[in-house]
Amino acid sequence: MSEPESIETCGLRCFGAISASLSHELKNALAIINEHAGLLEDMMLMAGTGRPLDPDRLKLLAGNVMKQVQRADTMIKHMNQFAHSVDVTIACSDLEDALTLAIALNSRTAVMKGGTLVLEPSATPVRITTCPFWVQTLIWRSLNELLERAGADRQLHLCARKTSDGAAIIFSPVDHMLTNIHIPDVLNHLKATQALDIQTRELWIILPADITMNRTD
Amino acid sequence: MRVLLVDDEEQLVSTLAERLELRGIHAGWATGGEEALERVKSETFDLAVLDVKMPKISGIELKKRLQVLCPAMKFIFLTGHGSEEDFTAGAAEAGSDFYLIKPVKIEALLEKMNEVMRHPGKSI
Repeated sequence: MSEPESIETCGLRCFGAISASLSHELKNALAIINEHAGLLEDMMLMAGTGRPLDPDRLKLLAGNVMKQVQRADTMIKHMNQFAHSVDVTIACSDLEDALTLAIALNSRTAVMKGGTLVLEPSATPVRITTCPFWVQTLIWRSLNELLERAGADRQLHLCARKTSDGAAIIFSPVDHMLTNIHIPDVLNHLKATQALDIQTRELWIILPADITMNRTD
Repeated sequence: MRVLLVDDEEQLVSTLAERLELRGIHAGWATGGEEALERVKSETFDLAVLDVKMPKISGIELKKRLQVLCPAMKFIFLTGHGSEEDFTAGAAEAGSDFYLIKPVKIEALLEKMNEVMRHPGKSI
């Protein structure tokens, strides 16, 4: 087995991979807008030669363009939210919100690997004080490993849950052969631990309620 | 010329196909590798325009599988990334002349399509 990568490398790779994936999706939205604009131009040219315009078709094309603009806008909001996750080293935030963002950021990667990501709503709000960027890195890295093992057409469920002394991110169902996610530096940085329940096929990443408590670094 | 467009973005391939049809090119489309492989069993295409990154079957893999079914078929790759990695993979498969980055102008695509059909030896 290869050496675990350093936390700096892992963080940079996460930032790069997510930026590349989102930029690819943005390119697709732009390409669709480009083709629709081109088709409208073609239709206008044909109208100039006497071919009548179909108002219903024009309405449909305009609607498609608006949907792609909304899609691109949503992607940019997610990209912006992710970019700002490095603004503060530590923050108190809702873990389910972090999972929602992670699913938005990683959904295309999941589809490319033949899987889908599903958020399981938590019964109660799960607020923790932690490092927002490193939580995203942890989820990204975990998803990469879990999706590689998940195979095609598999749904991977993500859930935030309160524990007696903190919170957990739960991934399920995980491959029954899984032993660990190999990210010791990120786990250490977040003061997190991982636990695998073979029976339920759940991987728990357990985070402290407040990372600043008894923080040594 | 009969062209098969393959991209997982349905609105992209269907609209592009419509624009090519308006220019007198018979254009079929598919939103994934499996659908494309099924389609070539019942229709003949001279050329395939493939997205490099698609779920399940990548454009690179699809090209290899299409070549088995349609040895005379020519290929152009389209990508959204424009990354060095994609360029290397796409250029190795189709030649750097037949690799386009989205969004692409239809005139540029038509030029490449005509070029690949005129110079079949340049495409693997």
